[in-house]
Amino acid sequence: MINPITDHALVALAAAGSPHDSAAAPPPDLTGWELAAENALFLVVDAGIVALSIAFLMCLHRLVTGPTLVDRGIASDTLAMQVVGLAILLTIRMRTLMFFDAVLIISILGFASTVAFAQFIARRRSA
Amino acid sequence: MNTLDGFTLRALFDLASAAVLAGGLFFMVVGALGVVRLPDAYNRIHAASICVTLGLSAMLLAACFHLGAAPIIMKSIITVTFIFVATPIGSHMLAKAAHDTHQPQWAKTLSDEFAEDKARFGWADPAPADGDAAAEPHAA
Repeated sequence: MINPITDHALVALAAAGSPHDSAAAPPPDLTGWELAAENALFLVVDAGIVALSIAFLMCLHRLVTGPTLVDRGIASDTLAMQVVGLAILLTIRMRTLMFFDAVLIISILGFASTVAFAQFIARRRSA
Repeated sequence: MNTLDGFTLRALFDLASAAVLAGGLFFMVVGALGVVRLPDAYNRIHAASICVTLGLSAMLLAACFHLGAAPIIMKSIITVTFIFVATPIGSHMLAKAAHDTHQPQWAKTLSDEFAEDKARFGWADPAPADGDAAAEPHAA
């Protein structure tokens, strides 16, 4: 379709067979408008994978070279949210429900890590 | 022959999904940009929490538009509810911890009402930051 790399991954995944994609199997025949709309969506998704990867690298830069501990906490929180965004993009691109459970789990883990980070920063002096 | 022949609901949903997804990605990238570029920790908390909340909500809406299956919609509602509750709480805790440990503020910060309230009401203030090199104020 558009991106040869993700198409190879799609073919490999279809050959492996995924048990959960029965709810979202692609319809056999798409008319002109439907095909054009889906190609536009997949173009946005492919651009979004690149954009989120760049955002991921920027947050990683802040995580490594953050001047204070609070900056590292913010960067790790934002990093978890970028991973959630990548999981959503993968869900849209592959039309499967496999990766969507990871969305809620990573959100909860990111919130828990942020709270733990805040507690650690607040109690570090008095402990 | 109408030009809009074949413009079905599926095509409309895919186009709406692309538009909403582009907006969500914009917010996500702007949030990451704010985390990198803003001058101090408090500004970075502001950028990260708001932009990421909006961006993730829009991206989940895009997934609902494209896939339209009941499990996706249900989990999206749960996730959006959780994000709208959890992200402000986490950001608030981080900001409070940063203020309690006297993290450096930007040189052009206009007001610090939390410090004024701490001084006025005599709220318990933890010990000031020790000689940690990372916690020293830096000129912006």
